[in-house]
Formats: sequence, structure tokens, C-alpha cells
Amino acid sequence: MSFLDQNRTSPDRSVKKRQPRWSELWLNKKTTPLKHVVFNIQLPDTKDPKNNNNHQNSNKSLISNFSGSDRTLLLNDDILLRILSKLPVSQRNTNSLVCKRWLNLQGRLVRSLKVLDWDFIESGRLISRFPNLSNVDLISGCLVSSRDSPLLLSHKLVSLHVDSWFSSFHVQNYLLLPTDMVDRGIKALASGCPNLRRLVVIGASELGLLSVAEECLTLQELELHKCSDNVLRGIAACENLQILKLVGNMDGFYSSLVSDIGLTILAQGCKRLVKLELSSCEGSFDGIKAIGQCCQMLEELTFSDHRMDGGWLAALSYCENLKTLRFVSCKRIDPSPGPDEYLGSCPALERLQLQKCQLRDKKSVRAMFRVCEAVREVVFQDCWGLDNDMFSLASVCRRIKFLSLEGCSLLTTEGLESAVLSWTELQDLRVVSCKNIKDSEVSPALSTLFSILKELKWRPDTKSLLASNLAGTGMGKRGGKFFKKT
Amino acid sequence: MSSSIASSSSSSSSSSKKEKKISLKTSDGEVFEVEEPVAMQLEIVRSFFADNEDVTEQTVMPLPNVSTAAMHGILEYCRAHEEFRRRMPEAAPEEEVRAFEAGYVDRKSNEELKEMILAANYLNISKLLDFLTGVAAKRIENKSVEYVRAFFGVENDFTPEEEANLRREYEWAFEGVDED
Repeated sequence: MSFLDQNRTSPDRSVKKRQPRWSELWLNKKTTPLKHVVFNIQLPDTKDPKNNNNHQNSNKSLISNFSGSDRTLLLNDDILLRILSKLPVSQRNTNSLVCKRWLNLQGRLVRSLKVLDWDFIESGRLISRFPNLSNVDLISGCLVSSRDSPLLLSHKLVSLHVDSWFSSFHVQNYLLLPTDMVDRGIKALASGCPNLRRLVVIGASELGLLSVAEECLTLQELELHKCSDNVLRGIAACENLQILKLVGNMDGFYSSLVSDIGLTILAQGCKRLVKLELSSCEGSFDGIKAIGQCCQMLEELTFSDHRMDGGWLAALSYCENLKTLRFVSCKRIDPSPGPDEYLGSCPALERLQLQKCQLRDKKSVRAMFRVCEAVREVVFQDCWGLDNDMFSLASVCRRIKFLSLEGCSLLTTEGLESAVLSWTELQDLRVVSCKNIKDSEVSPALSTLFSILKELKWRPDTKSLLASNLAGTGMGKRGGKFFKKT
Repeated sequence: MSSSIASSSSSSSSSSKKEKKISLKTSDGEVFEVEEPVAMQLEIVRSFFADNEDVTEQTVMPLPNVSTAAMHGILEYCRAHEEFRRRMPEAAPEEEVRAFEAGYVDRKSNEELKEMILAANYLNISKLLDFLTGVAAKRIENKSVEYVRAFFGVENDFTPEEEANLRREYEWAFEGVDED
């Protein structure tokens, strides 16, 4: 590999017209596919770098130096890598176009990638260009997207372009890549990038997982969409797995079943699990119990739109090192939690977070607070059904240090007060956008409490919040002024 | 700091100072007499003298991969840093160092910069190398492909089809992800 400088023509050859810059091609987001754009633009003569008249004057000295020098430039790979690693990420694509050696070196520096086109993996291009990948997100690649369509469909975790004849029937059959194709792809990826640390994929099977586990011994984080009990059979091979997210169902896209069987297999295989997220998974007491007993290092557990059977909450007491429990978008917590004596509690629990959950079932919520009675930090965000009664159930948690309420519109100051005053260890309170909590109703006892707190964020009034944010912008006023002619 | 150049003859000048001087000979035969603490910033010199017990003050260390011009630049940097270190042994005076470095590098053309990088690499001066690679990176930061090619004297070895394929890949095949 040598970089012989060309026999340059005389330095002061002038150019008739302004050559387009490569950087403009990138930013040219026209809807016509890029290949058309490329063929329409005249590729500048690469032998003559002086065609760009747009550079500053300092370029002249650069060029004259360069044309005067007849030494070849041999920076070794090491130095070049150092320089490349100091350049901004936005420049990566440009750098890769300099020459083949740069393409190679720049590619070696890339660690994280989101694959949009499956063919990029199948053809081996991904592996040859980026051998050092450690974090690969294949979600978009596993979905067949209609590139030319302007319709963008977004649903929770995925988004893709669809044609106008799309309907949910088509998803299962046409829009998700078939399993064997996915397996082939991730197998190729694993063999090419053995340092893989994190992988996100839709529709892999246990065979695919096994091949990844074999090649990538450092695999720590896995996100399996369209996961089922069968798929989890391959998980036991991922011995170093610490972070796992399983997505069973996605309404309208696919449905696949993760049940106790899968959870038990998971528990027995991945004993080093630290964080687990179960999204739209089924299961029950037995599955969670297995996880609690086997995964001793489990610290964080998240249930997203879970479909677990009643009575599962009590199993949380088996998770002896669990520190954070999170419920996201859950329609119910536990419809039949069973008698209090059998609930137990999570001994090491510190954090409880409820986001966008339905908290209408008193039995459920009470059981949840009982299991979480050791908790120190509680966060409620945009939960429905959290009225004064429901909230008062939280007073069973005696050790609360931090409370955050956001978007809890049923709670009144009175309800807040009675619960908050019972928590003697409270240090940090955050109340944002809870419209029924009125400043005017704050009692003296409560304000005394506020003065003792270490940190307080008190913005319950949504209207004033909005108004203060819009102040000075001219927006939010009625009619005429807003549509004033400029 | 002005760079002091020893006489080009290889006979050592009468150095009645307490400081020991080390003679370094560049690729075009010029010999530089360099104060010991400055010369020891060059790893290659340090290991040479550490490993060989039988070298004396008279020994001239040959540096065939370093040109005289590059040597000037390197010595200027090393001498300045030695001066800083002498004045404030615990911590470098940040602002002064920065001011010096800025002024130092402004006068260097791209060719000189490249030569010095190669020399600093050969001589194994990690701080200088780090600094110079940073400067080079700054100079090509956010510049176009042609500029970068011209800067490094690199020939474009892609065929038009290959280039078109690469561009297509950037558009359709993947997306970079910011590191955590």
C-alpha cells in the first residue's frame, strides 16, 4: 500500500465551473433514490484535487506545498487510527471515502451500528467493513421496509415505511423476515464480529441464538423481539448475559408466547442476569419464582404491558437482591394476589416506578405496596386511577425517602398530605403536573414539611406551567394576535 | 523559546556547564547537542542510553529517520516543556502551555506537521505525538473528502461503481449510533 502522489499537472490550472462537493450529496435528501443522484452528478476528476475553488486561501499554501513535495506520505496505521479516532462521528462517512485503506481503518473504529438493510449482513459487507462491532441493533433490518413509500408506520418499538395497501395481515407474512433468514444473518454477524456485546433482533430462533452464544463469548446484552419459549432454549448458552429484554407480543405486528416454561429455562441458564425486562410476556408465580431463586444477581426487573397470571406478585419475594421494580404500560398489576400472609416482601427493594399504568384495582395496588414495603423511592408517572384512596395504600411503605408524582390528575392535596406526613424519612418530593393539587390547599403542616425537605420540586399546576413556558413567545393568546400579519 | 542549534561539526563544543549534553545526529548528518533532560523526553534516546552501559558523552546517537527540519521543531517543543517543568515541577502551567502550543503549531505547514508526526512517532515522544495528531485531526475536521486526500497525499483508489455502492450503503444499509 503506497501513496504515490500523482504527476500533478501545473498547479495553476483553473477550472471552469464549480464542482459539487461530496458533502452536499449526503445532505441532499431528495426523495429520488440516491443512485440516480450519483449518476447525474459529474464525478470530479480525482487526479486533480485543486478543482475545489471553495476552500479558503490557506488551501493554496497546502497545495503548493504538496505539489512541491515529492516524498511519499507513509503514516503508519497506528498514527492514522489515532488521528481518525479524534475526528467527530459525523465525519466517519466522509473519511471512509478517502481511499480503501481509510475505509478499512475507519471501519475498525466503529463500535455501534444500526442495520437498516438485511442484505448488508447477508452479503458479508457489514463484517468486512466493521469487524470491531460490539453493539448491533437489527430491528430495522428485520423489517421489510418499502423504501420508496412516504408512509411511515410507527408502533411502540419499531417504525418502518409501508405501502398504501398495508394491513395488519401483511405484517406476519411479509414485513417480518423469516426465521431462517434471521438466523443465518445473526450467525454470520456473530462469526464476523466476535466482540459483540449487545444485540437487538426480531424473530431469531434458538439455533440462531446458539450460534451467537458460541461465537460471542462476551455477549452481555440481548434484546429479543418476537421471543417465545422455544427461542429461550438457546439462551442458556449465553453464560455472560447480564441484561435481557424479551418482547413477546406486539399487537398488530406479531404474537408469540413467553410463559413460565421459557422463564424457567431462562432462570436456569442465565444466572448472571442483572437486568430483566419482560414486555408483553405471560407467565405466573412459578416463572418469577424460578427467576428469583436462580438469578441471584438480579437487580432490576421491568414489566411492560405484562400478561401474567394472577397471584404472581408474591413470587417477587424470592428476588432477594432486587433493587428496582418497574411497571410500564401495565393494564393491571395482579388481579388476584392472594392473601396478605403469603405475599412476603422484596427485602432489598429500593425503587418502585410506575409509568402509564392503570391503578384502578385496589386489591392489586395494595398487594403491590405490601410486596414493596421496603422501598425507598417511588415514582408515579402518568398513571390512571391514582386517587386519594389508592394513594393512601402507599403509606404501608414506611421508609420512603423520595417521591415523584407526575401527571396524577386525581390526587388532591389532602390525599397527598395524609400519605406524605406519615413518611418520616421523606427527603425529596417532586410534584409536577397534578392538576388537582392546589397551592391554596396546602396546610401549615404540609408547608412545615416542605421546609424540612432536602429537595422540593412543586409544580402541580399545569396551566401555570404552560403559561410560564410560553411567556414572551406570543403563543397561547386567542385569535387575532396569533395570526397577526408579519 | 528559541531553538539552539549546535555547530554541525561532530566535535563536541566545550560545555563547561553542569548539564550533560547528548549528541543526536539526524538523517542529513547534522548533529544536535541536546541537554540531557530534554533529550530524555525522547523515549528512544532514553532507552538507548538506559540499555547501553558503555556510552559516554562523546557517543553520537544516530537518528536516521529524523530530518533536520523535524528535529528543530521537536527540540523546540521539548525544550519549552522542559522549561515549564523546571519552573513548576508539580503541575504544568496550563494556560502558558496552551498558548505555547497554539503559537508553535500555527507556524507549521501541513507538510511540516506530517514530518513531525512521523518523527515524533519514531522518537517515541508520546506527549508530542498526542498533541500533533490532535492538531492534524483539527486541521482535517469536517473537511471534504478531496481536502483530506490532498492533505495526506492519498490517491483515491475506488472505482466509480465502488464509490456509488458505498454511498448507497450509507443511505440505505445502516445508521451510525452514538457511543454511550
